[in-house]
Amino acid sequence: MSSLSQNPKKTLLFSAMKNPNTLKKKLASRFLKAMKKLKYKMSPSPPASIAEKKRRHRAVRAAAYASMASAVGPRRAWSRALLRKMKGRKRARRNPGNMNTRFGLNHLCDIVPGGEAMDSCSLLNETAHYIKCLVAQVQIMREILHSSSSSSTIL
Amino acid sequence: MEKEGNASNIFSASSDLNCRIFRPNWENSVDQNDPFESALSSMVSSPTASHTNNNGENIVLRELIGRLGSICNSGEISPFNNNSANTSCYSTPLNSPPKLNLMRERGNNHFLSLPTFSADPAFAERAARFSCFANRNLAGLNELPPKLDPTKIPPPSVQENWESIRAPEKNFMASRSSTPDNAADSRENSTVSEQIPIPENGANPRKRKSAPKGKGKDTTVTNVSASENSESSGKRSKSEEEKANQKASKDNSKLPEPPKDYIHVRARRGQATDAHSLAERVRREKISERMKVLQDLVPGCNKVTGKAVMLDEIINYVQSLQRQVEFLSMKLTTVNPRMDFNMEALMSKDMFQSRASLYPSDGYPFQSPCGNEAPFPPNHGRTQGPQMENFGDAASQVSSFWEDDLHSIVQMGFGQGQMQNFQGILPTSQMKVEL
Repeated sequence: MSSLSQNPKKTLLFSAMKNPNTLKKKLASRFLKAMKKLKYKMSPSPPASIAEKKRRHRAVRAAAYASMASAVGPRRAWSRALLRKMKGRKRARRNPGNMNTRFGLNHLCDIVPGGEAMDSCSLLNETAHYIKCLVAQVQIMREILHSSSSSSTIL
Repeated sequence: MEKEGNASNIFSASSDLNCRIFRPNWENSVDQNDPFESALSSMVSSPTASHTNNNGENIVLRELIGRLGSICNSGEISPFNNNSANTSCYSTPLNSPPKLNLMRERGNNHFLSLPTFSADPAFAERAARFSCFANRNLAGLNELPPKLDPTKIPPPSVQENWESIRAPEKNFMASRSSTPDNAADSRENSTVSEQIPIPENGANPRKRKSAPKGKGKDTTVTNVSASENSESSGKRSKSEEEKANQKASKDNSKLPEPPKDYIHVRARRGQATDAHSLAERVRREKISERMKVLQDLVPGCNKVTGKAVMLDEIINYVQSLQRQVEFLSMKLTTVNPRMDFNMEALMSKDMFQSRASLYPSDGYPFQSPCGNEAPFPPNHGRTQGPQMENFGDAASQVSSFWEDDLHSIVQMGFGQGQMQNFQGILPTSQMKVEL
């Protein structure tokens, strides 16, 4: 990218984005730790009850997002927003008059965590980083599944 | 004296321009130019605009040049890269007119000080304003009839040379203000006589001549000054040069956007140059940069053009990713945590394999996957609002959940039986994925 030398903000964006391998490693370790922490209740060994399944599902999903957010740390606005959601419900809705500058980004700010209190430019930044992390997280989860299913089929 | 009054007005205007200059270099140059301005005012006040007294004017001009040179040589602004080009530019016009050999000596001495001069764009503006005076004088000096319309001759060459000259020095901001002048000089094979004072500049007869800008600069400088009169931009935009080119050449090619930092924005042809629109343009370009980055991230966005469609694609992609997380987490509920010990070893092996190939195929056609589970949480729908709320609820539940399990018995034993039970289910759900 020729613009890298010229635009310091863009270089910052690229440097702040991790190398995919390191990002994945971090995400994976955190996610696995979180998964280990998720000790399912003994009662149904396969969770027969639907409620149990729901609960577990939610737990795993929360673990996924939480590990993603904590792996990224407070450097990113979306991770901060996610962590805030996990800890308390401190809605940091400081809106510096963004609505008039938001042409078409209304839906995006609903999707990306913490999207309301950002201006368009940083929202796009955050979206890019969020996409990267989501992609890595999904890959990790897939790999866990594949490895577990493959090991189970061996049995 | 009205001229003195006008001079002071212009000085104040240029000092305003100086005040709006952000870079510290410019502040230094402002300080340097203050003695210059005082010298100029003294110069303006003393001699009258009597064009008949050529010799007197020559002396005045030489004194001006001397003062300018002294100020410039004390400056600390870094010189141009193409210093040699400047020197060559300057030698040609000054060689030709016989009467201006006086100027030439002084001019030659100040070749090296040229970069310091030209590095100050506000100075360039002032020089432009004051050069109209010199043009008049030169016409008087040379006593040559106006052969060519100066507005028509140099500008095409200015355009070409500007582009050729500014190509190697894109990063040097100050060069932009002076490159048109340099360009004019390099093409000034013809004598100074061509630089006839343009009637439009007759409004400001200023008794000032900037030496390094030699005679060859006058036409472009007058063009610049004419355009400057018409524009009023607070920011340090280079649009003045653009306008000069605009007015002059019809086959104006759009110059490429120079590297922009926070301050310097180039205005394109036909675009407004006031502060608000400049700021908006900078913002818009930042946003388009980010959109390009996103375009690279989201698969299949290369063909899409336009921000709206791109945004829709991005939103869809993020939604699909979030749905995948949901689905995978549901599948992972069946995974034995004990197996994770092995999984770590497997992960370290898998991670470095490129699993990206899984991705693009599964990304978009990944519809709602949980058909087999009827009472699946209803907010597994399209809208993400309820999903995030659900997540919030889940978070509170999870926190309590984790606390409970800390006290409960470890579930490691749940593996074997569970895996057997779920082997039936997993393949079916995977078959769904491969749809």
